[in-house]
Amino acid sequence: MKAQQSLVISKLLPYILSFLGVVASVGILLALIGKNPFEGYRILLSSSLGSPGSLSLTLLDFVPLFLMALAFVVPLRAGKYNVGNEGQFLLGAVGAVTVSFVLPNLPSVIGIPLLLVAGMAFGSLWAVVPAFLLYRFRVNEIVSTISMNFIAYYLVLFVTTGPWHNPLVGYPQTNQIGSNYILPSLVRTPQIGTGLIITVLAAAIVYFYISKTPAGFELRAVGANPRASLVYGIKSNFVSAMSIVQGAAIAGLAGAIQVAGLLFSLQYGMQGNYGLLSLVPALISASSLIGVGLISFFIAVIDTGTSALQGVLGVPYEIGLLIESLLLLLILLAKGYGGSNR
Amino acid sequence: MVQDAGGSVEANEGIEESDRTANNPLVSMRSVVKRFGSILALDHVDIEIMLGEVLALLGENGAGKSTLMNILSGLYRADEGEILFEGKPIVVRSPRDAIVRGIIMVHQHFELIQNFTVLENIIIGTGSNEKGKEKSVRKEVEKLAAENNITLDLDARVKGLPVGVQQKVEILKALYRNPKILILDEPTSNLTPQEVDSMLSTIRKLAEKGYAVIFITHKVREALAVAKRITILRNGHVMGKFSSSEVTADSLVEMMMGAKPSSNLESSSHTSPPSAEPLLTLSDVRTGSSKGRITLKDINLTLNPGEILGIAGVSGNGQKELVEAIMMLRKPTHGSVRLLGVDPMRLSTKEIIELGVSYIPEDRLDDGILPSMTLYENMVLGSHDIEPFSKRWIMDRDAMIETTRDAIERYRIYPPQSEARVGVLSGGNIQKLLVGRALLSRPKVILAHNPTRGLDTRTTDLVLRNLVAQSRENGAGVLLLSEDLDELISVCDRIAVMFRGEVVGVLDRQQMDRYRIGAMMAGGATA
Ligand SMILES: Nc1ncnc2c1ncn2[C@@H]1O[C@H](COP(=O)(O)OP(=O)(O)OP(=O)(O)O)[C@@H](O)[C@H]1O
Ligand SMILES: [Mg+2]
Repeated sequence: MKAQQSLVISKLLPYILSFLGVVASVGILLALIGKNPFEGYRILLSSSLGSPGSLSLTLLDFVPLFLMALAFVVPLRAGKYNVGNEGQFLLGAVGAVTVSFVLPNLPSVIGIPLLLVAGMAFGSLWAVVPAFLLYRFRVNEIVSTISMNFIAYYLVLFVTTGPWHNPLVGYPQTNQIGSNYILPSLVRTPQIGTGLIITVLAAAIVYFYISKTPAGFELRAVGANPRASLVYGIKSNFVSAMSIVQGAAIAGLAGAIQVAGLLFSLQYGMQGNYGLLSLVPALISASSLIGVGLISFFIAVIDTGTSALQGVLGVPYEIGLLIESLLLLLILLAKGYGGSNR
Repeated sequence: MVQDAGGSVEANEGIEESDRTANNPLVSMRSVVKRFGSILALDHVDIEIMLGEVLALLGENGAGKSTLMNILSGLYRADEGEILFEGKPIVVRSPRDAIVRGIIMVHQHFELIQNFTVLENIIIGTGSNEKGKEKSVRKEVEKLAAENNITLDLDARVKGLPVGVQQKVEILKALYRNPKILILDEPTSNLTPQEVDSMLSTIRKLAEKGYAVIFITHKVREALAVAKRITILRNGHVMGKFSSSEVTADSLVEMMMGAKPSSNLESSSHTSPPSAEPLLTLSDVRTGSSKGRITLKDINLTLNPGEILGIAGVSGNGQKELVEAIMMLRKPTHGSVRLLGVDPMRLSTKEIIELGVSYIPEDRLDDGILPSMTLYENMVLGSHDIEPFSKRWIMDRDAMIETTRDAIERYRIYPPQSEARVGVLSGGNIQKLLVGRALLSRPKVILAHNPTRGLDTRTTDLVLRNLVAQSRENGAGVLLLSEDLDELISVCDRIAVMFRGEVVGVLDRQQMDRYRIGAMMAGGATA
């Protein structure tokens, strides 16, 4: 028992240290640019968790982050790195606006589910190419999904400047989707939107799929040992290729929710840093979805807090990015250390 | 603690013996304790290692042999206890700390780099691969190999080499590092009888040259043949230390297992019903060539219901290719196969498993297990999506665990926890799992490739009994591929001998003779 306790501590310690490291370096950075670090900490926390309103902001950030992390985790369980979740997210958003502009008059009960399904479909279609290349020619999925990201950026640019372009803003952005397509919010303060509910539901489904179904078993088996899986009748190559498509559906869902729940239009650059940030929870806690959720929330807190720092203290935008990259780096370091610790 | 009566006969010699050597052990491990979670793998273990002699570390599967030596070689750290080197306490924190003192271990599961050549694997990390040195290094390695009776093609790529050959590469690699203490973890379990003999004489010579050799095994006969002193481990305890001249094989077995060894397997007497259609027929089967693999040449074999057909052969003569062809993991390019009444050529591996074929692969780590997953998940691999483990797209955890509990009990798998991750099991226990899985669902055809490798006598016996029972009682056909001739002769109805991808002869019971089979295995004679 005692041995187990100390094991848990020695596993957690690197993460705690790296968290403290981030906190310290935020302070140092703030001090360097002439701001009061403690004022910075206070703003960071109060603007992300301090009031129902700020919690709403954090939750809005949490939704895409968690979904994107899931989009990375599902293929990761099969041993595949879906770094293309960003492009798939964008395609999901394209799918969402497409439905709303092509069928503008559907009632919400049909329209919203259709929009979400379209997001998932577009997202997974975007992964079909890398999945096929992997299955047929063993093309490394990291390379192919990243390439698809770049194509997605241009596709979004094309759509946002094309016929659906909103002429009233001087930015590549489409017109707003109809109000019949906007996700209703269920609680006002803190705002609990349908997006959050769908996200929690999606996570529950993913959990059930991975740990309770034979297909999820095969996913994990292929991740654990593709050759042994093959010998015992699992089509390893197919399973690992499909895992990317499945992950992509979740990324597509994230993009659709972002359109229908927050932005109400397709916007160039709307992916923000979600692709990169989603790697953190996914890589730290690939084996526990609850962990993925908790860490995603934590990152959403930091993400929301640092953007408030920009607004309130006038900290340059790059500092926020710097902090987030630092966090990623330190956590990966912690993971590497924890992993090599026998 | 069991102290065997056998010692008293030659008590004088034994005491003198231990007095002389006990004065100056090169290494002693004192009171070593190692826990893995709740498992106590080593419980205050003491051993002494002397220069110039072979120490056999004898014990059943999971006794703690590998763990003890992993501690000495720096892979694990002891929870308690100390290591004395030349009388002074030392700290071994990493393999490097061990290597600088000349402690080199050849592991039970190989760690060669598959895409490197034999030579590259041998010299890796020693700085010998610098430009200009190639010629002299090659000479050096060749000389070392010759001195120790090891024949190897230094330029062959390791990928696809038979395990027996890889074993030799590992040993040569260890010798090249100039060991003082050479630890060999079950070095004979991958070898043919002839190769075992030459390995044992190599080991004896190494000791004569002044090395300290630690020979881990659960084969009593080999321990007696090669070691001067024998230390027996059971369940993490030292059960006794003996000079090999003062003990008998039987008493060693008893101490190892804590019980009298069971009687030998009765030789089988099988008469297949003449009308029965064969379960498996291979006609003129060939496979295409791929790098490092043997191609099958016109294989003709039949396997009848209730029959155990042995496949003898030196490892790497097409046995793996043969089973892979039947499992359609390697599709034949020529000839025809008939399996349980159907043509399997167009079937997937999954469909073949569903026909009632079960497979115990030779390479248990690569082909057999999901190391990061639990015992119960590994147990159902291959039948995970059918009843009783899956019902209507949902897996039934209770059913999986119940089945796994049965197998744990029946095959004495340790640790007896369905939830343990398989990666932490000892080699022998992994093998028990593979056997348990293969016999889970009353298979009609069993392809068993070295099913008893790495198992102690008692478990070997149990596995063979189960295979025999499957064929005699359930009418299953068993294809038993093994390098252990005694095992084949004791249970098989017929034995086919393979050499370079061909079946060079099929012998029935009256024709089974060790020497004749041995000669055929070496390509010397035909049936
Ligand atoms: N890394 C590990 N984590 C957890 N348990 C372990 C680990 N390594 C070994 N064990 C456990 O310690 C015990 C001793 O294992 P060890 O590998 O030393 O046995 P062994 O004597 O070498 O057996 P075998 O002949 O089967 O190889 C076993 O019960 C095993 O399950
Ligand atoms: Mg072992």
